[in-house]
Amino acid sequence: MTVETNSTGLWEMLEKTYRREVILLQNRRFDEWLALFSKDLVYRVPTIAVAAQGDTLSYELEELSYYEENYVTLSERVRKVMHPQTWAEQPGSKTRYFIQLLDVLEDEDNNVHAVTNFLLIQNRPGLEQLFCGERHDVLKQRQGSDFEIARREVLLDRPVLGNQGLSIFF
Amino acid sequence: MSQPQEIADLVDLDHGMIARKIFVDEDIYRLEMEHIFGHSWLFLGHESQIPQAGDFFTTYMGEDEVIVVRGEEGKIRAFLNSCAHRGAKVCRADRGTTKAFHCPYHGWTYDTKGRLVGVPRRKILYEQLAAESTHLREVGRVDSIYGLIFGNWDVDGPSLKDYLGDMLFYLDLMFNRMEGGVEVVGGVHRWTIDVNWKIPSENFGGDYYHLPMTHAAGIDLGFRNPVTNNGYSIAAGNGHSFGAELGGAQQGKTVQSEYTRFVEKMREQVAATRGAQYNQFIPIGVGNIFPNLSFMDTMRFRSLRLWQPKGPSRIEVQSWCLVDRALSPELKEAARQQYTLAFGPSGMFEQDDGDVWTSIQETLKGARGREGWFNYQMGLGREFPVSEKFGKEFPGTMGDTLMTEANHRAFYRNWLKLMHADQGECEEEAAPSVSPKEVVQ
Repeated sequence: MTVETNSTGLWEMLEKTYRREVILLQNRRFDEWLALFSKDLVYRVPTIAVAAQGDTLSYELEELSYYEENYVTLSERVRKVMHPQTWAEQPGSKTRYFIQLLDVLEDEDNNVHAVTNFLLIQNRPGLEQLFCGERHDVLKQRQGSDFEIARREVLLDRPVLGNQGLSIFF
Repeated sequence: MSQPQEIADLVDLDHGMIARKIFVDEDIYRLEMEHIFGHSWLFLGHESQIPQAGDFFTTYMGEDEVIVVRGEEGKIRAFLNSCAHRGAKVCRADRGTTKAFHCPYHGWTYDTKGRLVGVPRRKILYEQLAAESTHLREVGRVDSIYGLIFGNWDVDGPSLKDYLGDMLFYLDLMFNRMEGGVEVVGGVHRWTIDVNWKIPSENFGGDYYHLPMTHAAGIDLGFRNPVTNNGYSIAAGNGHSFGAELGGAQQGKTVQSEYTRFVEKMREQVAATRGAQYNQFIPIGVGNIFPNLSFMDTMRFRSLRLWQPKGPSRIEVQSWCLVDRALSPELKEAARQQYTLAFGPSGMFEQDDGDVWTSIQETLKGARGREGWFNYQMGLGREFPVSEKFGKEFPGTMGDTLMTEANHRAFYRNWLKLMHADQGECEEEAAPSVSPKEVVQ
């Protein structure tokens, strides 16, 4: 059961966490970005189908995902992206993240549920593509005051990805 | 550019040279849409996607969007997703369940057999409707094997079994391993790549040569073993082919799963019952069913994908993960996760293929880039029957090494045949499939 929080302190802390995340991603400091996540991380970007029941159409999340990661596999993906013979990231993509915190809730275990809008514009030689959607995070407070992201589900607005594939992170 | 002789001049298989033009020319592309995609058995999806009557999904045959639907009596049919009245799409979903398809333009309604069953104000407004307009255009033939559904616009021509031909012997080793066969994981990976459809098709058909360089990062990180020449590239006729790497594709120590051990046990079982030479063929490897259905049967997962043409310089990829029905939920999950890690648009291996292929298509944009030839000379003159190596029940031809371009040449040999360019004869005008002159009340 999650409840709204009026704590502006919490909003500010989350904003700070997300701004730091943007700086790390944009500067390709992926090892430090990984350190934002829990060791028991569940990270998923599901595929989404337009499903019909008679004439009623709706979006449904599918079993198959674009990313279906735990901490170990996400770390391996980071190693891949940073590898000098990953042609898809030679040179590294320029990424521009626009994150907007929309909603913050707390549950009875003091976990924080945060919903953010994201807009990611990726540029690399010969390619510009745009991703947007919603991120649903569950965050836990660490010793001290900063948060770690224990769970992330990313819902992309566009069901068919644009060019070439994914070598960036949401 | 419509003379078969001119097309024949662009493909010189005896010398292993193919003109760059066939990968970018608009006229050739239009001919492909007619001669190849209009007359081949094209993969639509898997029966496990539409288990119940009224279930459907949409996909493409060439650039034609089709609805694939299981009718009330259980039979699967496919129809052009275009109202017979004046063309609006009658279905805008990827999948679903329905009793009827309603056109949002004027309200015409079709049942799951594609028949027109509702026309608003029909008695008042129409005395007669042309026969052409009383049903959705139906795909000529739909047939399944191992639960894989194929469609062919052409009502004539070889059956699905004959079309697959000798490739069936090898596909059987991929799909028939466990009681209950296979099913697809729910969902389809979909992404676009700016490349001609033939480039990934020929690549999956047997391009082991690209692995060490294109996928250097994935190898270095241990997601697959370093590439050797231990294995065989086999062409099974009708343009179908695959490469079977000894020990199976996608071996590697990094992030291994229980699925790998499961495949090893399968291999031992098959070899024990059918003979040690079958060690080479479990898993079967990576290949392509002509024209554009590629498959991966590896130590970590199985995948099917279609390179759907969207003009000569672009494709939309549809990629499925397949699992044996009888597997435990844990092994199914492991295979699904391994597939997603390696392939699909975020896949460790898929990432780099897309980047390299896109650059090919870019070089074909310019006037000089589309002149001249691509080189397919590797392994010329070094092919022989598979039976010589593995025994008389094994069909097809093979190269003497895993790395060869024999399978690429086999692909284009079949391409030439379908483009009516293998004998330099002029093709006859195709007869129209439906006469609009027939009229019904």
